[in-house]
Amino acid sequence: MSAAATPAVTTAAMDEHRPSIWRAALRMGRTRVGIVLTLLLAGVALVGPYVAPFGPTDFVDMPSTRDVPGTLLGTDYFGQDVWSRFLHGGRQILLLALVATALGLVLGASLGMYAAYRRGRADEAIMRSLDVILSFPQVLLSLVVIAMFGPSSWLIVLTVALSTTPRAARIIRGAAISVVERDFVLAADALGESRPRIVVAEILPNVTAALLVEANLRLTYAIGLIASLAFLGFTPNPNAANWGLMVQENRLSLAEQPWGTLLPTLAIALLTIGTGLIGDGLSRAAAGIDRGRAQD
Amino acid sequence: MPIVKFVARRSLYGLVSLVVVSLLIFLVTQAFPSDPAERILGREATPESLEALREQFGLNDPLHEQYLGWLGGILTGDFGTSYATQVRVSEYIGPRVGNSLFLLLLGAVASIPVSIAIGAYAALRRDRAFDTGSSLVSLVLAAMPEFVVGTLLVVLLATNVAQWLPAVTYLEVGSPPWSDWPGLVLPVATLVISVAPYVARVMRASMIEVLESDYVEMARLKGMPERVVLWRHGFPNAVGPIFQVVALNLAYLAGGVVVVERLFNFPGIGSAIADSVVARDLPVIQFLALIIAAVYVLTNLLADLGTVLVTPRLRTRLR
Amino acid sequence: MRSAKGVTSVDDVHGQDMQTSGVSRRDVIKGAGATALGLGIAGGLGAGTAGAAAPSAPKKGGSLRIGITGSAADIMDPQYIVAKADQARTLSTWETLLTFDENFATTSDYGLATEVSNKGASQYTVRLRKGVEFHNGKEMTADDVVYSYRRLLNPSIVSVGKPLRTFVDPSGVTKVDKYTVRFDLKAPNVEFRSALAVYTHGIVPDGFVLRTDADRIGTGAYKLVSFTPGRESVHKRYANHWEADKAYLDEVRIITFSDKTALVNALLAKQIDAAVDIPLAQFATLKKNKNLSVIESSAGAWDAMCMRLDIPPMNDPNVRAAMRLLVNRKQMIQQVLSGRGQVANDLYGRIDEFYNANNFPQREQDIPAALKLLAKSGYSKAKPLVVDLWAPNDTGGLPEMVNAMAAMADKTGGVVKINAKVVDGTYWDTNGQYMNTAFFTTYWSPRAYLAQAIASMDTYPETKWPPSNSTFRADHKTASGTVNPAKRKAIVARMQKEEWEKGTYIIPYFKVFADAFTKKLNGVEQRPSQLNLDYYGHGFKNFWLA
Repeated sequence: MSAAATPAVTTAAMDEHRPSIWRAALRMGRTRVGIVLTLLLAGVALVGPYVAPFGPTDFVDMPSTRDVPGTLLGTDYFGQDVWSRFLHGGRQILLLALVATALGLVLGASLGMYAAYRRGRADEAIMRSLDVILSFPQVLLSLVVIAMFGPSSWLIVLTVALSTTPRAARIIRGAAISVVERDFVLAADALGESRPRIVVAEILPNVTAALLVEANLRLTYAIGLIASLAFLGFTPNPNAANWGLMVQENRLSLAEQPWGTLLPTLAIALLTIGTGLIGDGLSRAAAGIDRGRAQD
Repeated sequence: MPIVKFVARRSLYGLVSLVVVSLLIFLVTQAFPSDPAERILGREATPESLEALREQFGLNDPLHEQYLGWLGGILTGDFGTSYATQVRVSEYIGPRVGNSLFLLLLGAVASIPVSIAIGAYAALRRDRAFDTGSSLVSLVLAAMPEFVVGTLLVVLLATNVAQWLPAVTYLEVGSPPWSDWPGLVLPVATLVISVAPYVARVMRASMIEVLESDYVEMARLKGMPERVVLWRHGFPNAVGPIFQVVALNLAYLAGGVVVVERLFNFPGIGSAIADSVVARDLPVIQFLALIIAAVYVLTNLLADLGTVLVTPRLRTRLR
Repeated sequence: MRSAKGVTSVDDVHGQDMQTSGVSRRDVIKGAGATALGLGIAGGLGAGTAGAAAPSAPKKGGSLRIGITGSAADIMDPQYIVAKADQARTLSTWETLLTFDENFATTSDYGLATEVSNKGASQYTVRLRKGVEFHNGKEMTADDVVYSYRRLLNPSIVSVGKPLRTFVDPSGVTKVDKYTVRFDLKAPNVEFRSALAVYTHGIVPDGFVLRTDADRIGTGAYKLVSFTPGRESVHKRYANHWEADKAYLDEVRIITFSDKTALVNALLAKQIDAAVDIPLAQFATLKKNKNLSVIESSAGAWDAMCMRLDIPPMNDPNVRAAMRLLVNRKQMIQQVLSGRGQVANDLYGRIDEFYNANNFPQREQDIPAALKLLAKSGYSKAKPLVVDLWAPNDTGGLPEMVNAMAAMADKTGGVVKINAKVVDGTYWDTNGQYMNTAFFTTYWSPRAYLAQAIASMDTYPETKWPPSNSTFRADHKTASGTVNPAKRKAIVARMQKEEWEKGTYIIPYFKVFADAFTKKLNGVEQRPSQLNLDYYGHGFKNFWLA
């Protein structure tokens, strides 16, 4: 831990011209690898449908067969081309997962930070209400909501967002509380800065790490939840080409035709690694900037 | 005693949120399209049999009477009768709660120390091989839904590749969950694999943050040996957020073992959750929601208590 | 009454498989209610012993563990079932007056009646077997049988008696003497014997009310020890059974699984001895396993897409005919049944001696012909036909069917757009999509032609068939009272012609089901059967463990 060994000499006051976290992060190899991976997968999701040899629901040959002439990886559980389904399957799920995660995180992070900053009654009120939501078990919540309204895509977005909010809030609050205790926030408060500004300007950089870890995990979680709900028999749009669903649909023939399950799993894993590395890079950059600022 | 006051206050909140949860779940289930009588009879329904079932379940009573009747029942320890199984809810779900709790505890006991150790060690060895390796592996594992992890484990260790372990948990009715301990290995392993990466990641991030914090730097500057710095300043402060994460994951496990239990045919609350929603088995849904919420409230209370007690700064504040 | 047409061999379309499964709680519920099977046969699967080992002398003893899919909604009721698990449990404890043989003709083998005689098609007299004992030690007599059938006919008791009520009234079931019961039908029914053989028409003791395990008393070879819904039931051999020497096992455990993959895994890991209703996708793989035997069977259960006669756009005969021409049936079998199934020709009643009495040619996919019909009704690319096709997610095969159908409609180049819609079990509700939309799916267990026709007209009027100007209903009535086979055949042929030409069902295939079990389990034969695992060994008689 060479970086950490650099002594921070003083606690700094506020620094107005801090270098961009992004620029610092981009200088790191891992961030770049992460960006390449993420772009690659996003590219597959975006361009895939145009280059796929078959349509997403075209019947090709006997189901779950590995060697089918004219196909790259054989057929899936429904006699469709695995490779084409894969190419078609990224767009919808990435969009769903992204929107759901973003929505949940923004909401959760704001509430969590606000609660941490305000402490006292507001804190209690916010966190207890979130507790009520959170104490609804995830899967039961999803199942109940889907039973009420029928499985639809926006509902899954809302469910994931709703279940992400309290979790994100708790973690952000936990991380932010220690930040709130630090001198510079107290200092900012004493200087008469407006509270929202303090929250955003001071707490946000300090909880970036936790936030990004959370964001990254939530993104994967959203995809996993969609797949898991399908596993339990609750599908938004059956037979839609979708990585999450593919994992579930083809699970039964894992021994006969592993690609149907492994290919989307691999894609999801690579995507997670990609976003994870970016998050990692960013958090390191943020930490570095913290130190850099301290040395001014 | 501030701690006692803290606990008392939080317990009260917990109780209130349980009541809110129970009311919410009751209202939500009322909004279901379809009613239990229809779900149970399906295609064989006749107007007469539908009416008979509705009468038997008390579905024709006014809403507030149904809710108050149910709440009143709980206070006397009577959770009603499951529509689908026609068995008392306590008799039907009771053993399953015990089984699930056991699975949950095993999962927690196996995963938490391991993941905390991995996370903390990775933070100390930041950017070295262990850190990179463990974070890559944990990212991949976190990206796989439990049923994929579980299915792969079964294929590898129980059915297709090797046949070393049982593929499902078989508990005779009435026997305790440990009566089939070989059958517990794979479900527990699946739980550990799905939870550990998450905890390890958060632990690592938290530990790094602490290691770079001013007070750790200060301690180092004071010339404290690194070991002391770590154990006295680093670890306790880093572990604070971990309590929260652990609590979250326990709650997640409590509600989310659904998938793992189904995969291994484990007789816990998991399969009961899905079944009860499908069957619109309202007494069971309500009971399960309440149980899981209670577990959640309790673990969180403990987690908050843990965080407060462990984090030096917050501890001072309580006094 | 029965004319064996010879047993055709397995329509064995080989190759890799796929799933039909998913949640399938309602696999069987409706079928159970059948005044099911009929007389005579038409094809089916070849018979033969499945186990490779030459059968030696049966061995007594041992505990058999059967895995089967079910849920917390498992029930154990002699006259009502929901899922496969319920079938096995019903069969283990209760028996029926008659049973079906492998040609789907009724027989008194395994049955509680020794003889059924008839006067015309409206009066049937049943002689009961003597010395049959219920699990509480009481002897079975005519009182029990009368009570059992009146219970089935009581609409406020949940049971599968719905179809029965269309031709028998409770007052029509009477005791003649201690061992004789008479049925006087309100509507003639030449197929009445099969109603006595339906496995969910179990005989219960007089006064039977189902509340607890202690009430679950039957005459079967195994007596219930305990039943825990969603988990398992335990059954012990009943020493005083009337055929006790044929029950070899000491104990039968029926274990509920919620997931089919877990079920197969448990079999592979040797944690159960038999897996009932395996995913057809895994048939080929399991067949290769040297420790296991696999059997498949069919009695002509079928899935269908229903077109409501009175809801646009399906009220247009051109549209209905065009829809039937869109279906590639072989491909549908591959997609839905992993290639294991038999092509159907929009006609039901495969086990009926008069199945396809007109020898109609097989209907094939014919897009140009379909487009011509649609053009007649004014549909084109500019004015496409758009329709929702509904399926429930709790019935294996139906979601797959609507998805395959939607993809096939795309072949019309935009003239027909079918939206596949899959919803949960609320599909079956009184106000659900089932029977209330223009285009939806259904499933049926095997039934003779006339029994099916009345079930589709009255018990479950899915499509509101027949049209008002049709002679179909009158024909059905005449045929049901016509004992002479040749005369009946002529009427049935007329009815089938109308359905084949203008009907409201699209029937793409007949289904098969398959089971896998350890080679240690003996006595399971591969032969045509209405139920899994060789009719569950007729209540787990016949089976023994090596």
